[in-house]
Parts: sequence; C-alpha cells; structure tokens
Amino acid sequence: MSAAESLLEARITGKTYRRPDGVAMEAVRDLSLTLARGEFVCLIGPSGCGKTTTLRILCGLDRDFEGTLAPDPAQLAIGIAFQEPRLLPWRTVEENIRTVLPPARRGMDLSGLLESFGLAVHRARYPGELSLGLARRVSLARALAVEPDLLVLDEPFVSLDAQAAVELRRCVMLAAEREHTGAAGRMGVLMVTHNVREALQLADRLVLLAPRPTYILEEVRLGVPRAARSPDWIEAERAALAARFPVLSEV
Amino acid sequence: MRFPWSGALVRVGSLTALLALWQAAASLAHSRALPTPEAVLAFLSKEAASGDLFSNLAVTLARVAVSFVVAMAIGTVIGVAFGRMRRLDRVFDAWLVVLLNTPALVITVLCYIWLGLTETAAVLAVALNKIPTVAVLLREGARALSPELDEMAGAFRLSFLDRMRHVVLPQLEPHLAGAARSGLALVWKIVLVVELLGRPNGVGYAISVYFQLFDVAAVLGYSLAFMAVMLAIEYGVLQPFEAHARRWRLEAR
Repeated sequence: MSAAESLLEARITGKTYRRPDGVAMEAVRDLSLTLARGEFVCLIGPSGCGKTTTLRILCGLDRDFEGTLAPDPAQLAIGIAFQEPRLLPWRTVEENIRTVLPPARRGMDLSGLLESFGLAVHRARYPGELSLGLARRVSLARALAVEPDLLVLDEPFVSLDAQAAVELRRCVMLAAEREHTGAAGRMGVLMVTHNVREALQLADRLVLLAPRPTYILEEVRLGVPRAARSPDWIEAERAALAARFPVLSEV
Repeated sequence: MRFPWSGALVRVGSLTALLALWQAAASLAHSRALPTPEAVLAFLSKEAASGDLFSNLAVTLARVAVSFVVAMAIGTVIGVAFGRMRRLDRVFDAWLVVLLNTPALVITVLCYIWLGLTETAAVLAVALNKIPTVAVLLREGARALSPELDEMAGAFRLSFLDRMRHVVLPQLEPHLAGAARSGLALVWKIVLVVELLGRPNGVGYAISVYFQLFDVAAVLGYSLAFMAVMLAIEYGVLQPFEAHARRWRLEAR
C-alpha cells in the first residue's frame, strides 16, 4: 500500500463540549490523522477517551471544533454504521437500505448486497423483528450501499453474543476486501473500538488514543495480511501492545 | 381476539337493544317530543325521495372536509414548528392557550361579524376551533422526534422531502392519527352549529328549521343520517388508514 492516495487529512487542535450540567469538557487536544484509500484504520482507546467524538468530527457530523479537515467530509461519500443500528422501524430491511440511496439509484438491484450479508431472507422484515446482530448487519449493508469513499464503523461488535459477533466480523471483512471499481476508487474504513483483539484481526493500522483529552499515543502498522493472522499471532501482538501501553490493559 | 365475529355481534346486539328501548319509550310516552323509530325512518325515506337529504348531507360533508383539511394542515405546521423551535414556543404558547380556551360559539359569531355570513367565514370558524388542538398534539410529537434518527438522516444526506417522508412523518403518525380522529369528531359537531347560525343549507340548517317547526322526527332523522356517514368514515377510512400506518408494530399484529 505504498504511495496510497490520501482520502482524508485531519488536524484537530482542540474540541471542547459542554456537559448538560454546564461543565466544559476538553475531549480532544492536538490529534492529526491521515487516512488513505483502501486502508482500514482502527481507533482504539479506553472508554470515555473521546473516540466517538473524534469519529464524529472526522466524518463531518460534528463541525464545532478547532482545526482543519481536508477535503471537507461533505465532499466524500460517507457510509456510517452507528453503534446502535438506527434503522427506521417503519421501513422493511430492504426499504431501509433503499431510502439512503441517491434518487437515481433507488431502483437498483440489491440482491447481491443482501445475499452477501445473509439478509436476503430478511429483506421484507421490519427492524423490530430482528436480533441486534442482524440489525447491525442491515446497518452495515446500508452504509455500504451508498458506495462510500469512507466507511465509518462505531463499535460495531459491542454487546453482541459470540456467534453474532463472528458473523458480523465476517461481513466487515467482506466489506473491507470488496474491490471498489467505481470512479471513486477504493474506500477507506475507519472503525472505533475498545477491543484490541478485534482491531488486530481487522485493521491495517491501529491508532492508539490517550485518555481524555485525547491525542494519538502511537500508530501501529500491521504488516501481516488479514488472512494470515492466527489467534496466536493476535494474542502475541495484544500482549506486546499491552506491555508497551499500560492504558490499553484497562480496556 | 379468538372469535373475530364476537366483537361485531356484541355491538349489533347492543345497538338493537338501544333501538328496542327507544321503541318502548316512544310507545309509552305517546308524544310528539319522542317519535318512534318508524316515524323517523318514514321521514328519512320521504326526505331522501325529494333529494333534500342528500343535498344537505353533501353540503355539510364538503364543509367538514375542507375545514378538517385546513385545520390539520395549519395545525400540523404550527405544532411541528413550536415543537422544534423552543423560542417560538415560548413567545406564542400563550396565544395557543387563549385560542384553545375560546368557546366555539364566540369564534363562530366573531367570524360571521368580521367576514359576513359567507362560506369562507363558516369554514374559517370551524378550522379556528380545531387548529389549536391539532397544534398541541403535534407539538408533543415534534418534541419527541428521535435525535439519533435525525443524525442518521443527516449523515446519509437525505433530502428535505425524504427526511419528511421516511423519518419525520412516520414518527408523527400516531400524533397525526390521534389529531385526525379527535378532530373529525369535533369538526362535524361544530360545523352543524356554524350552519345553524349563518348558512342557508346543510344538515345544521335543516335541523334548525325543523326545530322551529317542532318536528322532532326530522331533527332525529337528520342527526342519525349524518352520524351514520361520520361513523362510516371513521370505520371505513380513518381506522384502516391507522392500521396500515401501524403495520410495522409488532404488538399490533
């Protein structure tokens, strides 16, 4: 992935928000991050360190910060899978996906996408009938349907049982490996997690975040191809990281 | 419900009992003030044959429809605006309370005085009576809109129309349905009063004429005919619409 084309360059010098009780909280201080096309980056840090805040800034949902983003996220096609699936309960699985498509592509055939995520049999069901794992899969399929330049995943595996997490991980891996043939080229993936094992399994690069106000402690590039990462390798890497960064063993 | 027909049977039985009670009371009273069901039916068939029944019903129904649509549209816009913009709500909430507590009769009389005894005045009077209740119901709905879904719609850059259609209106639907059902009941009652006070046709006008003639069979006949029409709309239009809009809810299956 040498000479990869840059997708997003972020320089966040500061982000402060006001809690409901009026106390000002400094969430981010001096965080610079570059994301390349075709790259899978995981933001890892302890709970409450400002991961989600950072993610919201990076994808343009939160504009109230000091610093710069290049290009403006409004110019990128962004697909987001929120931590809660945030599906429309009054629309079926298929309608939920169609609704976010640009009007010109509303009528497109979604069979391939639904099939590859194991959703074909559920296409006419309403979100209220789905398990959390299935709903997250729909949410992921919806994010991919817009053919994003940037795919954003906020804690996609949190509070899933082991089986559902395995299936969803397979879907995320599938999404990341999907070759993008559109004019936009390959997409970048930005995932937030506090689970180091998940990150080691999926990412090309780990970005370790410090406790609040957060900044980048370290960036770790993983040279081993995803397919070649054995459970032993993941365990060894995790132990090595935990030894270097004691803050990670809290998560 | 295990026996789908049992509910309907109970309802029909209960209405038949009411009819029998009316028949018995009328035979005992033997008075012009309480005609028998046959007398009312005879009046209805005579009025239907002359065409007056249908023309009066049609005129009143048109007034109900126009003022209902106007009140729902304006009330929804005001309610959603108040629910979303706190400052607007704080400034104009008192106006809403004043209008909500103005008697229907006062609004009607004032509309006729200011605009003359016209169709516009009649429809406006009915709509003004209904707008504040629609606005109050929809304000609650707008306050409860999900910020998470709103953010999702923003993140996927849905157009204003798509947001309304797929995200906002379905959330407002229970409040809209509630406003529509309570609204229809209120509107058709007020329309009769407004017709009685200043219109030369319609069910309200017919009732006022027969009231002056002390023709109770005619008064009851018109009331029953119009109630039947409104019940048909309630069961034939509003309830199926609501069931369709709620089809995604598990507990409704």
